[in-house]
Amino acid sequence: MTWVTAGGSVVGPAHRHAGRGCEDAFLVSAEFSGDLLVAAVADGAGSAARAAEGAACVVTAACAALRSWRATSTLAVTDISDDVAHGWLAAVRAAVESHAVYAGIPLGDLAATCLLTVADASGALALQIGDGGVAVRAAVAPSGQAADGWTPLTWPLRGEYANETVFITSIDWRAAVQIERTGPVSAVALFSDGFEVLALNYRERRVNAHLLDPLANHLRTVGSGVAQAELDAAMVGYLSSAAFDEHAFDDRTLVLACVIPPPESAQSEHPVLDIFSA
Amino acid sequence: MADQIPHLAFPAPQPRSDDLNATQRTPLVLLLDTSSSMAGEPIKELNRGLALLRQELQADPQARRAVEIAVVTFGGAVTVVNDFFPAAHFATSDLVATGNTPLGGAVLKGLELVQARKRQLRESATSYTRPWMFLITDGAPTDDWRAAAAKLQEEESRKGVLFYAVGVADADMGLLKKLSPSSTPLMLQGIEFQKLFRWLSDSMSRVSRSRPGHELTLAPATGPTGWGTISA
Repeated sequence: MTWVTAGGSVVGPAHRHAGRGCEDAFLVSAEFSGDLLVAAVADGAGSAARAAEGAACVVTAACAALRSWRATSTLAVTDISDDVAHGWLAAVRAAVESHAVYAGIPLGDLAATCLLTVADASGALALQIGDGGVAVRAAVAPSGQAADGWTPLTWPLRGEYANETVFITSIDWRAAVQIERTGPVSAVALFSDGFEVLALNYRERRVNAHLLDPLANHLRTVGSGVAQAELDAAMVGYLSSAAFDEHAFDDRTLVLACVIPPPESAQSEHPVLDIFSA
Repeated sequence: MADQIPHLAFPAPQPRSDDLNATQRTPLVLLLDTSSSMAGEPIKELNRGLALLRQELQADPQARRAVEIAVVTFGGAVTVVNDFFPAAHFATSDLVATGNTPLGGAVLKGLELVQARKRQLRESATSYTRPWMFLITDGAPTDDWRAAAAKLQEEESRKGVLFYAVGVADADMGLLKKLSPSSTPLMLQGIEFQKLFRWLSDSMSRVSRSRPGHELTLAPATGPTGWGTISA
């Protein structure tokens, strides 16, 4: 099992208007051998100077927590307990706290959401504090492809009002943790609130498959063997599309990961398809 | 950049209308005193202020779709002039000053409109910011305001609404303080309705852009650039 990923963060029109930079961050860890995908997204929301720093701190700490865990565990993703998963978030929170102490700033200045997803052949596990979301496309069944396989794994957490959510720096962060699992997936998408408004339909509580399917299909088709920086640049190009500006005002981050089938088996099973692929 | 490697470029997004979520809303209720004491220059200036509010909000591409305005007047009777019109389509005919000052009834009506609107927005899964209730009066209530004050304070304490009171000329500032002890009523400088409504429009623009974790800062309402003073 091999993953191909593309991720990007771009500044939203609201921040451009206010003369601020992008305060989202993402990290896809490439250090894990084999079939494990680790991806993190954070939306920095503290004071102007420190929001981006908080988001960067969260994604770095999240991937570091996963590295420590992987060093001593070979468990399949679906066998990971809630306690272990909570432990990763506690490590992220501790990292942000010590960053604040060393920088001599209030913890709230580093306020950020935290989205973390791990996936392997057994399935996917998503953790989330705050808004944004994680969506998955179910693995293709042997019988054929599902028409609309995208489902929300986590859902944005909001208070009564649109401009309220919970951050990993909040006092009540533990109560706000979402932990969700699912079986084998063919694609995973993590996104901050600036892309969430495009990717999710709030009223029907569904994922906008029309938006994500063409992206996942494209990534699967062109992604193998391409340098990561080039795929990420292509994602930044996509997220920068002016077509989004009228509907999505916040910084936009999307990390998309797809499973690509091993090339040998694809060739042996469907030799005829090669004629059309050129 | 992505465009240097064309075959890697992701297909351009084609948002479908049934996928789009409703724009986040920023409700504003104006409770306006149109009693007979407002006759003459004050009501003229108030009308000009409302026109300015409309003009400024409509010029802001985000606020014009996000801000929605309800207008309740109290002059002789409590009248709902507008029940949450999007700023893009907001219009009022000129208000006329007449009758006494049923301020308590107007506050209750405003709270009622807010509750009903929140219910509608929740049902359509439309997100919204905390509604503002903005009261402007030049007198003292001629109806029972105590029930309204109790209801208002209850709503304020559970963060259901943000209340602002503005007194004009001979307004009973002590009473405005009793109406909402948690907020500070401001006295309008002269009849600077233009400044007041420009500030209100600017504040609504800022609220409509507010997002989680960012502290919302408003332009100063008092001081050299403001429109109000804190009465002793």
